[in-house]
Amino acid sequence: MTSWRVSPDRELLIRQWSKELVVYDCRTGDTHLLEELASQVFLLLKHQSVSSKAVVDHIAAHFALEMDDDLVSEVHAILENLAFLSLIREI
Amino acid sequence: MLDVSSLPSADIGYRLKSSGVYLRIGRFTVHIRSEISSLFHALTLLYKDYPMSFDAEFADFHVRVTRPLNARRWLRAQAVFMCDGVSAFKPLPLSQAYPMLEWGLNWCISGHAHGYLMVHAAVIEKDGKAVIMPAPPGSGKSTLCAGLISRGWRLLSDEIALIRLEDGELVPHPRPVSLKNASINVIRSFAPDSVMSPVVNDTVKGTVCHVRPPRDSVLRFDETAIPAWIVFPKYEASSLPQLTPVPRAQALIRVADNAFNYSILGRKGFETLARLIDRVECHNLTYSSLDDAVEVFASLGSQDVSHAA
Repeated sequence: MTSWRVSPDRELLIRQWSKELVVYDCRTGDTHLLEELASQVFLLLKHQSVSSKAVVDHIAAHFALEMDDDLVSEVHAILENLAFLSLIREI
Repeated sequence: MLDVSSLPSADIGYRLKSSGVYLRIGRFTVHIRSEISSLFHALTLLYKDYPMSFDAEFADFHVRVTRPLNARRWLRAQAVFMCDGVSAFKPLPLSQAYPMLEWGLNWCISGHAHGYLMVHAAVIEKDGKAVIMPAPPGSGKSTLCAGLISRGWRLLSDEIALIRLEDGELVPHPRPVSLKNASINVIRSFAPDSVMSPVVNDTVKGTVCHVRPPRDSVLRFDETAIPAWIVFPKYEASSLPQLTPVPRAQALIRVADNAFNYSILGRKGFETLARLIDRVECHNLTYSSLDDAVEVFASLGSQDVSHAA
C-alpha cells in the first residue's frame, strides 16, 4: 500500500487564503496554486505519512462526498500531480 | 534642483546635445543625452514639472538617444537608444525618438531595479490608498489610468509598480502615460485639458502618444503609498461595469505572472507578494466606458463586495 507525505527535504513556503493554498518551492523557485481538494490533500500529508486509501477516506469525510470510483480516481490524480511537482513523495 | 520649466530651454537644448541633463524621475536620476530635436521638444513639454539639473554626482541610468553613425544617420534616418554606452535595441525611425526614450527607460528600470518587486501594472492613489492594476498589453490599463488621473487620482506609475521589499509600500515612478491607437482620441474627449506629445505613427505598437502626468503627481514623487486594492482591468465593448472579487490565492498567481522580476527575487519576491496579497482586496473589473470605470473606482472602499478570501 502506497503511503505519501510532503517531501521533508524541500523547503516550502505555504500561504493559505480561505480554501486555497499557494506553495513556493525555495529550491526550484516554482509557485504552485492548489485548489480546494488538492489543498486538503497537501495539508493532510504535511506532517505525517498517509496511505492512498486513508487520503481518499479523509477527503470523502471532509467534503461529505460519496465514496465512489470517481472520487478515488480524482484523489489519485491529485496525489500523482503533487508528486510530479515534487511537493509530496511516496514513502 | 530646479524643474524643467524653470530652466531656459535654450540651455536645456544645448546641454542635452552636449554633456546631457539629469532628470529626477521618482527615485531615479536619469542622465539623458540627445541631439534629436523632437525628443527635446517632448521632454520640455511632458517633463516640465520634473526636477532637472545640468550636473549631478550620480545617475542611476546614463541614456542616450542618437542617430546611428552609419548611412542611416541621414538616409531614412533612424534613432538608437543606448544605456551606459551600449545599444539596447534595434534602431527605429527617427520620428520615434521620443517613444523610444520612454520604452528605453522602461527597459532600464524593469531590468535593473531589483530592490523592488516590479509588476507590469498601473498604480494610482487617492486619500492615502493605492490601487494596483496589473494587466497585460492591450487590456486598456493605460487608457484607464489616464482617465483616472484626469479625475483626481494621483499617478504613481502607468507601467511599472515598484513594491518596496522591506515593507510592501508602493514607490512612485510617475512618467508620461503611454496611449496608443483608439485610446488617444478616447482620452482627448474624456480629458480635453490633457497635455499630449505629438502623435507618432507606424510604431510596433501602432500610433502612440504620451500624456503629461498631473503636476501634483510629479511633485509628490517622494511620497510612498499603501496598497489597498488590486484591480485586474479588462476593457470589453458594450459591457456593463462589473467589479467581482478574485480569490487571493489566484490573485497572487496572476500578479506573479505580471511581475518582471518575481523569479529573480526568489523567496523574497514570494514573501513580498504574499504580504501584499494579505493586505489588499482583489477584484476583476470589466468596463466599456471610462465614466463607468471612474465611478467604480470612486466607490472602492465603500463597495458592498464580500471579498473572496
